[in-house]
Formats: sequence, C-alpha cells, structure tokens
Amino acid sequence: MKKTPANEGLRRTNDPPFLILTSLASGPKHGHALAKDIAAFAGVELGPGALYGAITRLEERGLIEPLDGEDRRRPYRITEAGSASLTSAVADMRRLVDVSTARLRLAIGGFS
Amino acid sequence: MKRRPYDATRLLKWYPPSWRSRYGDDFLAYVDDTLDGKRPTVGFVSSIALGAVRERAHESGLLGEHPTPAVQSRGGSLLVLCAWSVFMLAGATFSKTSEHFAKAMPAGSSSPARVGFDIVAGCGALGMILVLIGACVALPSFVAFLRSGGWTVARRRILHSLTLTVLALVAIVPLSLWSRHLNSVQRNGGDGAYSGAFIAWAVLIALTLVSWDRVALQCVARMALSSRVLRVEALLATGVSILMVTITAGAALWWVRVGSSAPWFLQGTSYGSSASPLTPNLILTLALMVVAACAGALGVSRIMRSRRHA
Repeated sequence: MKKTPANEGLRRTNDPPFLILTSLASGPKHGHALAKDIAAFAGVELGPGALYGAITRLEERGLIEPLDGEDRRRPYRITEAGSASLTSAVADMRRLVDVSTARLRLAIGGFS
Repeated sequence: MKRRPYDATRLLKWYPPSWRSRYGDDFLAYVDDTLDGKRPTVGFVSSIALGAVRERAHESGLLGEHPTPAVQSRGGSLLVLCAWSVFMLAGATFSKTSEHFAKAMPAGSSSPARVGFDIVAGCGALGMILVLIGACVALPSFVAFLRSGGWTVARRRILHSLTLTVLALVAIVPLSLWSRHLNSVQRNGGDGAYSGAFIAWAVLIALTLVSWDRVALQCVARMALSSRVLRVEALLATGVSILMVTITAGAALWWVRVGSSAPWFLQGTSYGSSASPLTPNLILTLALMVVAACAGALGVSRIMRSRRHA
C-alpha cells in the first residue's frame, strides 16, 4: 500500500476496509475500478493482496456482497450492515476531527 | 499492436483452492486490468504473495477472527505447533554449538552455564513429550479423517513428508560414522566437506518439519475434534509455549556465561585466546528462538480469546 508523498504523516484513513466501504458507498464497483477510485479520492494505492484480502474479510462479515458480473469481473456492493458500519466509523472520525479542529483553533488563538 | 496479457494464473495458485474457486476469475480480471499487458513489478508480486500467505493462514485458523471459538482455539494450537517446529531448528543449532562446552570452560566457572544448558536440554525434552502427547490425543480423529475420505486429500503431502523423514533418518547413519573420524574442531566447521554435508542434512530436517506442518495445517482444519480434545490440545500448546520462553532464557543464560568465561569456545579459537562472544550462528539461533517464542505466545493469546468467547 503506497501513499502519495503529500499524504505522508498523520493519516488515519488508509485502512483498506474503510477505503473500500467508502468507495462502494457511491455505487457497486469491481476490483480494478475500486483500486482506481481509492487512488483518486484517498491517494492510496492498494496492492492486490491488500485489496482482495480486505474484500474477502468484508464479504465474510457481510459488509459487502458480490453482484452478478457480465464477464469475469465481479462487482461488489455495500450492504445495509456495511453502510451502518461505515456510518459508525465516519461518526467516530468526525468526533476526532471536531476535537482536533477545536483544539487547533484554541492553540492558534493562544499563540496569536 | 496490442500487448499479450500477462498470465497471472501462476500467481493465483499461491492462494488456497477454496479462495481461488470463490475469487479466482475476478482476481485474474483485476490483475489483467491493472497490468494492462505490462510485466508485474516486484512490489505487485510481493503483495500477491503476502496476500496468499495471509489467506492460507486465515483458512488454517492461524490468523484473523473466527466465528466459532473452536476454530479460534484450533488455530491457536496449530500456531504453537508451527512455532515449535521453528524452535526445534534453533534448538538443534544450539545443541550443535554447545557440544562439549564444559571441557572448554575454566575450572569452577561452568556452573551457571551448565544450569542454562540443562534448562535448554530438560525443557526441550519436555516440549517434545508434550508435542507427542498432543499427536496421540489427536490420532483417533486423524484416523477417522483419513477413513472418511481424507486420505485422498492428504495422501500426496503425507507421502512427501514420510519420504523426507526416511531420507533424513537414513542420512544420519553416514553422517555419524563420518563424524567419528573427526576431532571436535573438524566437526565444528574445521572440515569443509563435513560442514557442507551437515548443513545439507540440517536443510533436509527443516524441509521435513515444514512438510509435516503443512500436513497438520491441511488435515487439522478438516478433522472433527471434540471440545475435550481441543481443550487438551490448548493446554498442551500453552505448556509448549511456556517451555519455549524458558528455553530461550536458558540459552541466553548459557551464552552470557560461556561468552564471559570462555569466548574462545564460541569462536572455535585456542584456549585462553581473546575472542568476541557474538557469533553469527548464536545470534541467529537466539533470534529464531525469540521469533518462535513470540509466535507461540500469539497462539496462546488466540486460545485465551477463544475461551473468553466460548
């Protein structure tokens, strides 16, 4: 899994399951489309092992499900449980973002 | 001109069969789309290799969370067994390195080193006994598995492992006859041909252990093990794991004491000469012991987690 140099540092959002669920939240995608979408919105290049490992675990946990594909490519879509799990993860992150933002404002205000 | 797609079926074979039948076609399509006819990079192939190892470990219950505590406990015990195989290799190297160490120690200085050596030898023997008890406890389930069609599944690996075992045992005879004509310096690296033969034999032993581990991973996942058998195996695995930590401590104590009192013995130089106690084979041996002991501890933590969820 590679990150673009600009994204190096304190990123917490490079967890493959989270990225896959976020990508599928905008509609079903097959493996290659998922990897391209994740690279575009998160700047994270998932390797084949990480991508399909995460797909396997997410499907086992019922958070995503495969759809019938027209050829060898099998699209996946997020399930209701997957949406609920993503919503919960985003809410957790939002709380952290709010705290960080508030404390940053406080720190910047304190120094100014 | 359109480039010929890269044939990734070879890479797919690294994954377990059940995974291949579920994700194989989709995965190959993904690889074709991603590579677009180009050769895969080392990073790409490594990612697939790691993914395949992870899937195989997951399928055997060695990794990941499993829906049932029984699978989790079985995976934990198997992880300890695999760790013990690695530990045995380190133990064999230690045994070879420490051969006749007492004779090289200055008078009155061998006591703590002897304690360390005895801990390694005693706990090593106890560990072997626990592993044998574990095998005996699982034997009826293993026979039942073979009778109910398991032989067809595991035949190739079992025969492969038996062949390696016979080869390793037969190879001991000429090696020990040869060693009788050599002095201790020649036996410990002084004779190039003997050292080469010994290393080849050690590699054969390592391959034999890995082969039996693969048999265990393949069969145990499919065997019907009662909760009583699983409890006994978990208890034995915990004991083996504790022994691995104790043996590592004993080997470290032996190294420190011999290194401070008779470093020349570790380097194979003449009595009383100054030498560094840091020899590559002991560093590698201890590192291997630590890694195996950590893997064993991981296995025990899986067993504990399974008991909490039971």
